[in-house]
Amino acid sequence: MSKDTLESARQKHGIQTVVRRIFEIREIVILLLVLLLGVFMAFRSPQFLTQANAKTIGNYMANDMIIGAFLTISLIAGNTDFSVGSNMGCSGFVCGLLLNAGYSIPVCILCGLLVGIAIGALNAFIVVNLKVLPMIATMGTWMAFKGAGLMIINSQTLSNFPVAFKNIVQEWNLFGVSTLIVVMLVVSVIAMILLKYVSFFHQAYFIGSNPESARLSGINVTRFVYSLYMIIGGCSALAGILATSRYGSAPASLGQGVEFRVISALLIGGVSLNGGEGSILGTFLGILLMALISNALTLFGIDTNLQNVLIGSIMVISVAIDEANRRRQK
Amino acid sequence: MDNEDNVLQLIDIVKEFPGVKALDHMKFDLRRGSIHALIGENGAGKSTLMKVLSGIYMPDGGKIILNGNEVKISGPMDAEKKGISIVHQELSVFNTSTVSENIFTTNAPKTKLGFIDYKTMHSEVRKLLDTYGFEDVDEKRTMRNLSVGRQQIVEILRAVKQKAQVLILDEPTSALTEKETEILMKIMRTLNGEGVSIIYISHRLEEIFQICDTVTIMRDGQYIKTLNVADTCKNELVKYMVGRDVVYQYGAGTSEIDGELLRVEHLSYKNVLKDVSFSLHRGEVLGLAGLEGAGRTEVVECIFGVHKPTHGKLFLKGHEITIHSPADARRHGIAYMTKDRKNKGLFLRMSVADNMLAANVDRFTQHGFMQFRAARSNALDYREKFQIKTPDIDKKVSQLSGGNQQKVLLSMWISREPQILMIDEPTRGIDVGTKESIHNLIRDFAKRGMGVIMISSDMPELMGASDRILALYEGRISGQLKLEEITDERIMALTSGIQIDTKESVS
Repeated sequence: MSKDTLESARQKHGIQTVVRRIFEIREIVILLLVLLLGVFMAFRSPQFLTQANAKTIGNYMANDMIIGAFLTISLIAGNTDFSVGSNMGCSGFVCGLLLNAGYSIPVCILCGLLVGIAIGALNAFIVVNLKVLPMIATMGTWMAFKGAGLMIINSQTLSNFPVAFKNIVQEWNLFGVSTLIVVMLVVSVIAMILLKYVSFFHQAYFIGSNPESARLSGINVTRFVYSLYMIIGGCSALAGILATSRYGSAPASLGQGVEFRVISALLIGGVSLNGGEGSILGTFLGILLMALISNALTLFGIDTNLQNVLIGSIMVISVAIDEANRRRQK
Repeated sequence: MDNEDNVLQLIDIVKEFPGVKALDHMKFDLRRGSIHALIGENGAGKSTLMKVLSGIYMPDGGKIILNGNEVKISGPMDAEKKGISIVHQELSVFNTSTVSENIFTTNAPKTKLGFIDYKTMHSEVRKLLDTYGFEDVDEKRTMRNLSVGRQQIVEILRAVKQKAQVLILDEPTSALTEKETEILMKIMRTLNGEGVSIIYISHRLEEIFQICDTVTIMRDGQYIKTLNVADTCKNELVKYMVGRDVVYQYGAGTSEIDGELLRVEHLSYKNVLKDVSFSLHRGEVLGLAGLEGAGRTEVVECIFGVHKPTHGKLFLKGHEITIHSPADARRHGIAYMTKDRKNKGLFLRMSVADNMLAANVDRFTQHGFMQFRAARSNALDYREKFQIKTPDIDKKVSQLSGGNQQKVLLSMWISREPQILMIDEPTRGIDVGTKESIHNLIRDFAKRGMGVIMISSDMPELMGASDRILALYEGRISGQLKLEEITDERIMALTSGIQIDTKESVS
């Protein structure tokens, strides 16, 4: 009996179904949250809609998005990376130490990037060749490089960098848009195009959906995993170097806590830790939402620790909604 | 036979699964104190019958009579309480626990305070191990440190410990070494001497002649015959196991076979494959026959680069090639479809179109960029060509029937136009109609010059579709049958390790 009645019920409540379908798309839900918060802020805070504040939000997002863009692709393929924060620190410190030793700026930046890429390659080696689960492998390197980073700087803040290096973030701009925001947009757009249209990166969906089927259909999973971890490593290093330039110093806390913040944003944006799902746009919106919440709390002078309470809650709720949708579809 | 003599009687047992009658009015009588063999082809229903007996499946009809009284068995625990213990084909041990804990499981002896009494537990297990000749197995060892054979023995001892009156052994020797098998035989004789009745399922016919007194043959879920072991011979058993009337025509012998495509020389893999050599020709469908565990799947997986063979060479059109990964194999024009469609083939969460794209990402790429439009039209083409029943190629592949899923996988590989297609159980779990259309497709590929290696446990399928059959027995090629030599009796004999002379009939 149920089939026909179900069908007619569906026709009767067509609009409801359409609305529900829309709400099943994570990007739209997060976008609505972002807009809601934005409109609310625009009315309640005169500083919100200023150019200076937009810049603040942009700069706040940039660091996480530079790391999060390719991390999204890797997570779609089912491989997480918790070492990004420590990587940021280590690469920033290496770059800073070399600057202080008097090497030229391009050489220092290049060395910082190479450190990041090398850490990424190590992650891939542990995951692919030693067959350690990505979560465990990168938690290991997260811890190890956190320690190693502090060892090479003796837990002291590095500073007194050449002005030309600080100017990269503090002064340079493109039509008034800061270096950080430009880099963020470039990395995001590249990641978006690669994931959607470039064959090699598009394979992420197959690998994440079923790694065994992917391997047996002749997809070179090893090459993919190595490439992604190395790119993420490079991006983390880039974020670390830009942060060093922005602050004009490399504090011992550089990069700490970034990994959990970025991965939470990814989860809010619809990436699944089980692989196979997610988009760069979702990640962007997730990071934007976090930046807005932080901005709102600062503007209203509310305890910024509330940010973590809110982010944690939103993350759990959004994943729970996803799971509920999935069960209902079955 | 008098009822008093039978510890167990199964009468008219029926068990249906969606689309198949796994047990069709099956009967089975177990005499008290007997060691009774149950034999039949892969999929004849032996394991299903034993699962009914041990309470894992509920029968849809029929009676189970234990010691003269009809009983209902509600589950494995209930079966054990009634004195029926089973050792399954697949190991079900607790890997990280000790030997002792595995033997006692939930019935561990307790101290006065209610804590587990390890001392008593270990000493009782020690006694048990010593009684049956396992002085060298340490009762305190962690299970996973034991060889598979030893683990199997521990499982059997667990069943022994339950003081069962009926002990079921479902292919216990497939993982055992010769020496372990001998010990198992000793255990069985000792138990039998203590009055335990045993049902023994095995593919190894010679074991049946060594240890059993009675043998029952089943086929297609039905009872065929019960014989005294002393009054029969291997060839007679083989005859009863096969002997079917329906022969399907899946186009065997209808394509033109020429030049050699692939040659495998002295392929060995761990202790699974031993010195396997054969060749495959253009236009040929080569059937690989063998029992579960004979190494059929490993042969094709070694060729495809899934396993790294310990020894052996591959020649493609006369040139030696090395394959380290499925990606290498694909580059050489080799395609492989596993028997585990859902977990090792399809991308269940993805659409039909995406699934067809999986192995073809490189083909639908220009200057590094995906050609989605070409991929889509390819998917639409193959939906048409292979008659895949889905209104929409964006539908999730998990919503299709098994047969259509198989066609999706076929499309994925065939759109690459491989030279060699290796396919494991091409129609397992697929209805008869779709089965035929899949075989028509496979034959079409052969006619276009492709070489096909087909593994199948389904005898009529193997006979109806293969131009030539290679039989494997315990990792070795036990024989080869040309088209005109193929009979079910010969396949059965070769896969059971019986030497045959193809010039004469088997019997």
